[in-house]
Amino acid sequence: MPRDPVTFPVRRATRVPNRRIAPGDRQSRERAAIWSAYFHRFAGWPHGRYEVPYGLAPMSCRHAFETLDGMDDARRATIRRPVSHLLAAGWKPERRHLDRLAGIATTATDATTAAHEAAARLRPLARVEHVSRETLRAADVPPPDADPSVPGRSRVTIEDGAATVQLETWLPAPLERVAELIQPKNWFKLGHFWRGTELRTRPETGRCDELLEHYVFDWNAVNTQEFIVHLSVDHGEQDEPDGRKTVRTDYAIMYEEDDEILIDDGFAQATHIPKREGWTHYLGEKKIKFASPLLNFMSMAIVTMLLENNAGWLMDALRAQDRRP
Amino acid sequence: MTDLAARDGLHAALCATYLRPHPGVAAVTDLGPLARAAAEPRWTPLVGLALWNILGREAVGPPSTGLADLVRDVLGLDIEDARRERRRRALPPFLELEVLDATCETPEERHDSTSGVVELCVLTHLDDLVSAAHPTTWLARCDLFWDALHDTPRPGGVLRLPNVPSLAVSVDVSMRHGGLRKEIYLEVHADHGQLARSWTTLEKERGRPGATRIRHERRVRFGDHVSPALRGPTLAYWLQTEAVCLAIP
Repeated sequence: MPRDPVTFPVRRATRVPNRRIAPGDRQSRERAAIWSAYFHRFAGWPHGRYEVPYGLAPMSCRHAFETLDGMDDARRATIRRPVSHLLAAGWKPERRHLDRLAGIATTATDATTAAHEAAARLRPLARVEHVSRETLRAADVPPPDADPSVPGRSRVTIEDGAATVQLETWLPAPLERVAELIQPKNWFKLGHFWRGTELRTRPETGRCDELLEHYVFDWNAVNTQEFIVHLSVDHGEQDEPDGRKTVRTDYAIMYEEDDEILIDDGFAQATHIPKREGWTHYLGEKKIKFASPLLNFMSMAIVTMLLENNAGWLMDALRAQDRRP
Repeated sequence: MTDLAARDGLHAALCATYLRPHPGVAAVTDLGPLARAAAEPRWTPLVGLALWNILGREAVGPPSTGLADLVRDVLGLDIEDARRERRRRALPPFLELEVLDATCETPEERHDSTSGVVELCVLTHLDDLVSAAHPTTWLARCDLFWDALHDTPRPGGVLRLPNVPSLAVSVDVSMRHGGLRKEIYLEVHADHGQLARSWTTLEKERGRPGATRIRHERRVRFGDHVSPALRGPTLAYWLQTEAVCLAIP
């Protein structure tokens, strides 16, 4: 007998009284799997998930991996970091997972590896460093002799109760293509979590500098939380005398429609460095604080997930452009 | 009193607030010129700076006569609130400008010159500051320091620094402008040679759309005729005034 779809209340009852999630909603399951990987890495595996309220309990590591593995092959860069976090959290893949893991690692390292080496290949992608706020502030473009093949890293800190994460990586594409994607009007192309965006002109500034974002988190396969955030955004570019060129978008929250997010600030910066033709240095930062104390306990995992997911989608979007005839 | 005399009186009164009294000697400040200037909107921010200096050295005890009223009128703060704010802010909370953070380093003597830096992050968009940052426009707004300012490819005029004889000077300007940052380099030349060099950067603040960080640094050769004790305060006054005139178009 077919089962009825399960209906769960949504926290933001003022705008969406109920949301029915169809069991086959692939995008929701993928979002839940990505979140589960970050939960296990940051909040503790394997028992941590039983200690959070039912509505926030993530998928198991195995379930999360199998869901990620089912994602479109064009999303390999997006999958790599969540999978590497599952491994870093202590998950031991079963024998039947090894081939798929090797496939993901191969894409990551561009080398053919034996299945049992795959995990070792993926681990550097899960690098997370806890640093001071001053270290994050001082971060800037690397020296011209920096090695673009080194995997990017996330650096995290807590400041005034808000989790801040900075991700630094190299993208194998010229600046012009990355610059186009980090313009606010194209952000919706850069992640699982955007349902839509709209760029608006604010009468008080006369500039096209307000971005309305509809953001969706799937905490597990059945529970979804939505945020509608109004951001102030600013985009600019600068040519340097030494031949570098920098493009940056800054953003800061004006308000979330239900006041569920108190802080959501950051920037995305792409830099062309002479002598590194064909590569672009990417530096992204995000700081977030929720109204909910429970979400704040998990904010480090949430903000790392968002930033790394953006970078993964950016990489996948650039590769998709390469494949186009 | 003529306008010129009033302006000179204000110039001296503002600069005097940057001087530290000798230890054990009570600071005496004539608030008259400041109170008169506070009525004129173009001088109000400079009076705010002067009051901030006065509050910095009169941190305890009953306020001097008229100070509480002036603080309330110019900064919109009760005197006790202002004293509390003074302990944690390098610049006053201007009514005309939102300053997110600021640092004002005490000028230092290095070799034959005195150098100092003022840095402030303001909630004003870079694009709104760029036109005001054109050197001639900017210097004209700091008119307490200038007479007969002329706008040519090499601007110049008569520089009137307190505690220093007036000097006919010319200014070499070099600028670079991009969408994220504007840089201005100025060299002030007098008859005897280079008097001062300054590096000014206006840069969009990372992660804060609409905010701009202004860094204003200057190195001045005052010469032997200016007492070493007056060089630092004079430069601090010059730098802070210019930074505020730049930030409040």
